[in-house]
Amino acid sequence: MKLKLLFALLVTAQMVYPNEIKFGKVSKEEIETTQHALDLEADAAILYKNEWVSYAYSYDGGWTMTREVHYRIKIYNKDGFDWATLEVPLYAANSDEEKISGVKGFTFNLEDGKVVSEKLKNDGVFIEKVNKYRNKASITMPSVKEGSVLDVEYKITSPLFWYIDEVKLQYGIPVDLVEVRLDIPEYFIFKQFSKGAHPIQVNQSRENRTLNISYRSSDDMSRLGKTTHKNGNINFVENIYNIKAANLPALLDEKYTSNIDNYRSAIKFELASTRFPNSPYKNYSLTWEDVAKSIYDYDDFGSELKKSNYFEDDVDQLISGLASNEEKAGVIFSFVKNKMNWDNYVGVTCTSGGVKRAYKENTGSAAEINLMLTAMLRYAGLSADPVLVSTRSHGIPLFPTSDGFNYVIAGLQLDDQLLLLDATEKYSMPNVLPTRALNWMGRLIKEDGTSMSVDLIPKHKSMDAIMMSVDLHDDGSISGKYRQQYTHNHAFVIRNKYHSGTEDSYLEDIEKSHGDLEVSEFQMQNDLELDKPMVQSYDFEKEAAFENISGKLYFSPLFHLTTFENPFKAEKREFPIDYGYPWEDKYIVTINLPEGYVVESLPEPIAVAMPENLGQFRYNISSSFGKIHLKVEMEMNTPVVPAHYYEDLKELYKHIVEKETEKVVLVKA
Amino acid sequence: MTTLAKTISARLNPMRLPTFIAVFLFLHFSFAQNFGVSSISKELLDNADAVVRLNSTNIVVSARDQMTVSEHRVVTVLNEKGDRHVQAYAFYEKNYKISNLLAIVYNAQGEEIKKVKKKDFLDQSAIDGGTLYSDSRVLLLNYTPVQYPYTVEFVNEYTTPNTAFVPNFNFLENYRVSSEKSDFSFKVDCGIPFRHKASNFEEYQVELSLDLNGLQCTANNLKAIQSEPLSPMFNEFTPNIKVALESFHLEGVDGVAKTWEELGQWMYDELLVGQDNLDEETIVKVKALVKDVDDPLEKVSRVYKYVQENTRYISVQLGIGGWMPISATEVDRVKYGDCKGLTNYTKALLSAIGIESFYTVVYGGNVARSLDKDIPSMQGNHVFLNVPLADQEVWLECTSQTTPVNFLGTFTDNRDVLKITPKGGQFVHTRASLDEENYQFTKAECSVSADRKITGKVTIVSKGTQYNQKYWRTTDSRKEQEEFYKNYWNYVNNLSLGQVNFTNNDKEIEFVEEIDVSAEGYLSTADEKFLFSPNIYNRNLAVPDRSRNRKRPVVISRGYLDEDEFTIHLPEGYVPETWMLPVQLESKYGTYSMSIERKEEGTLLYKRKLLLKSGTYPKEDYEDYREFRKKVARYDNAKIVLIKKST
Repeated sequence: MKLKLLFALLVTAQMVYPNEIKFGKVSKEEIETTQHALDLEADAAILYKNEWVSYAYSYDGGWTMTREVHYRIKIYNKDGFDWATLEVPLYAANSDEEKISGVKGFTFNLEDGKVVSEKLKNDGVFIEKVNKYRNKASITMPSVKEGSVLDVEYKITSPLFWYIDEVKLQYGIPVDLVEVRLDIPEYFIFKQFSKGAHPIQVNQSRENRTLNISYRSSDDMSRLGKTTHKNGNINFVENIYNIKAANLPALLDEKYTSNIDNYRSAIKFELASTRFPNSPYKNYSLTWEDVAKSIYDYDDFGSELKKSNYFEDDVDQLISGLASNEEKAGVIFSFVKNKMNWDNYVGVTCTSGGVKRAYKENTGSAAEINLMLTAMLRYAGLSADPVLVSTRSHGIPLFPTSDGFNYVIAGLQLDDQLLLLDATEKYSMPNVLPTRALNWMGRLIKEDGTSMSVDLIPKHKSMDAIMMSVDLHDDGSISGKYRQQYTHNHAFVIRNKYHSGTEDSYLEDIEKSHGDLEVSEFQMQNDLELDKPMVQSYDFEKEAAFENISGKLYFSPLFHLTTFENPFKAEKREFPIDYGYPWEDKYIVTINLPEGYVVESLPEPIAVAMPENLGQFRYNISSSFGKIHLKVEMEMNTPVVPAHYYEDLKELYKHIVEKETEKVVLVKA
Repeated sequence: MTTLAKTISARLNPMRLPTFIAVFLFLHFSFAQNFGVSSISKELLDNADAVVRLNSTNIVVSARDQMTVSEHRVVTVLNEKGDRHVQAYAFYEKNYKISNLLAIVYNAQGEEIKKVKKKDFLDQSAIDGGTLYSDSRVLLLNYTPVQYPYTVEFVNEYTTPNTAFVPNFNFLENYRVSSEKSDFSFKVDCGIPFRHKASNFEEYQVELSLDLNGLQCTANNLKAIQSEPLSPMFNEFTPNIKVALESFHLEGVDGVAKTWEELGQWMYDELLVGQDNLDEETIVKVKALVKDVDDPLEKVSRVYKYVQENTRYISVQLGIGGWMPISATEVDRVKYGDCKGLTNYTKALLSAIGIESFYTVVYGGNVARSLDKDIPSMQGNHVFLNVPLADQEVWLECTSQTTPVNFLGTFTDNRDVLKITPKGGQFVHTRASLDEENYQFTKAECSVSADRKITGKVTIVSKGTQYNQKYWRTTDSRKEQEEFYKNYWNYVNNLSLGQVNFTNNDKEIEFVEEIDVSAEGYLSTADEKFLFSPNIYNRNLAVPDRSRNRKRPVVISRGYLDEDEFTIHLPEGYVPETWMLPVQLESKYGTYSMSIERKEEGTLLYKRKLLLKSGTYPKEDYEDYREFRKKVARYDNAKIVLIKKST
């Protein structure tokens, strides 16, 4: 209790701020500070961020949205200099371009104990046309050194009044205080969603607003076509949102994290509906059901899905004579995978020119390829539907939002089973999706526009099973036979790797990855027969594989397959460890004892499991008739290990490393 | 917002061009009939991910400020890894005029399957990661392969007023890419003399014909080359040609480059003079900095420190700004600049206190690359500052806030660089550190306990290139320190880091790490015994990859010397069952020695020394060198057996 109280006091003490933070007014203390109060190692910090979103209306331009942003940034050391350059992305869709204006900035430093400031001039501001869809403003501040405090403000005017970018509250450096205010006319109804682990305070109120609008009115009676300028007022109510958050720690990436953005504290305003005077209430998205429905209603989604004439002849031929649905589905899926080539574009709509063009040119976006696949399956009389997905790099959509999905796959109902198909990859299989699509839940849209949520994470374990026999030689080298079998997502990954270059370069990678192995008699089986496990086998030789210390032979019985290092080295962990899919590694090793030697000692067998059976490690070893038999199994039964099990996972690997590096000792008989 | 680039009216002379180009296009399109894969000879398919069927570049200089480059390439891609060799893109800048840009894709049989016109190329900014803004852009072919193999024919033709950079030409482009036919022609229509340098032509039978107004060279059927570890750079042994004009034009400025001296003179007069003014206030300030100092080196150090503390690196490249530094007054105001701006600023500050220094052009990078002396031309990718003092030449890296005075590191050491002086350009070779100067000394005291744990205190002193690898780490966070040591000692599991202390001694140019570190389970068990590796803190386990059928010499670009002394206290009641005899390895690549001495009861002193010598060795030595490194790895990994003392 006492501890908690103290903590609360500390936090409130931190929350005391000068009443008002004004652009261009920086205190001497802010410049004098050499370390961040809560994060002593921070290179820089955002002392204050203020953002004000408001609407304007003009007779000619309609509604526009403006965002006025003020950052106050403190630079603690040289590694923080990057934070003295701000990059502001600007959307540029056709003629609807976001524009930046009113860029102002000051750098404050102490000189002989006095606060001096240097003004940002035009030569520190650059607008770059990055590509067709995006511009970028870069603002770099003058006279930056260790200790500098920077004030920067700018205004963005956007014709995309229905779209408010996610308001970020957390960054790679600590944020002391963020205040965001949104003034939204009653005509626009936004729904707000917040994410992240830190408290965000939101207050809502209402204010009246009057907009004065000048417009031209042409005098119809006049033959001269004269126009007169008139003025009018509109009165309406605005919803005011005041958002405040304080003392947000730096958000730092960790290894084996799917997408760090999933954990960032942020708030998102999503247009739910519009209600203009004299026009009907218009609903946008509110629930996932609505989001799915509105995507389904897009011309370049629903209508593209309905097209079939472009493939009918081909599909007729493909499925003629086939009786079972399973066969038909298999043939169509293979056909699309082989014919189509993914152009690396994501998105839920057919933006690369539509399914017909894609079919003709054999290339298309994910939506084009998989909507085409869905349409063909339906045409063949199967029950197939598109499934909306958010890729890993797009992040986990925590709340319904129109841009929550960015990828499309197909869902095929076969008997009682729902199979997920993605034809963008040549070596994908039913329910074996590329890693990018293995992200939480997808949304399957049925023909009537209703939708349901679908789990994208594979249930089956991907196997990696190795059988190896080893002979020891006098010169310290080993030789042997090796056979490895991959299934499911493992097989998918290896097939892609194998087919991306020549067999020689694939072999070279194997040799290098095992530290100078020499491989011969290489054979790959089922690399194209996707429904079978992929099997590779070879003979190997390796020098200096065991040690001879005063006549005794010492070796780790997994030899070059030993896990030498714990992959989890960090002391603590904030975010889950994301494998993408559950897996199992299995090693069966037979070691032939060299002539004249007997076993002096073997490691003890063990079995270690994580809580809730998340993962398991089993190690079994025995010897008989001049041979050592080893069986090692490692299972991960969950695709994602929650952060609070990090210690257990690290501990599991500690056992793995310890046990696998333990030595077998042989002595002369 | 504002554009700083000068606009240049390109004086195009379109009348003369088409006839010349038409001839070439005609030649090429007659060749174009056979893009089928079956016509590629077997020897060109071996070890190749892509085959360049045709690479033809034709350059015509029609005036000092007008150069037309026509590129025609045809690349057959054999597999996914070959995609990157298509290289169907066109860089351009403001005053470039792209007159023709086209790509045609063919299938394996050589039938056309797609045609991409200029308007369908992606237009993107071509700013690299380190630059904040520049006006370079690129038009990029955006094509998704629908089958392998496939072939892309690419035509790019542009005119530029900048004749300072005549494109170099490589007859072989990369590893695992063969070249069926490549030709290069260069023609001067306006009488300007030019120079050229052809490298490695004989070995690959590249033919060269030369006359007063130009040159032409052709190569046929060059096989793909496999990469090899520790190899010389690709361009050092493959055929290429460089051409430069004796008088040229660059972003609105005319230049001359008959000799390096003259080119340097031009750079001095046109790019540097007048850029080094400072306002009175700054001059007073910098004079005050060195008020009571007599020693010139100390003066330089103070000014350099002032620059390091007050400026930062920001790169903006616009028009002539790509070659001319922004003025010292500008840098003084905004306190940032690129290498040119910051070097010129430092030069101006030094000049204000009466010390002369020289803006120096270099190829910066970890591979020591010299400017090519044989062909005076605009070269290099970086500038830094040379300060000749009475007793030594001092070098300053003005873009870094942390590099010590006169420390070249691996970025600018051991290479030919060009000093720009008021009397013209002058070549200097920067100093190479001796192998022994790239030194690391690790001293440690470590206790081993019977519960298999080790606890130690380690001090590491680094100099030379080994200093270079670490000195910037002083601002590392705890997390970064942890990552660093858990990676450095990755062969020690369960490493747990205690107190860490870094000292960057920038006067002596040495970096000191003091680390408290422990690890559980360090001893592995076998039966009742322990296996113990006495080299706890510095194992060198890297063995270069196997290189079958080695073709090229072995290059060890930088040597180093490591010395280690670990005092090890064995667990109470345990004694070594086996012992390690001292090791002494001698080879032409270096030496290795290791020994363990028994000190007082239960204490060992482990000593190790590894010297690796830089040098170039014949290809036959590769296996031998690997053997040496294998032995080092083996001895560094060696274990002794500890047993319970019989009482």
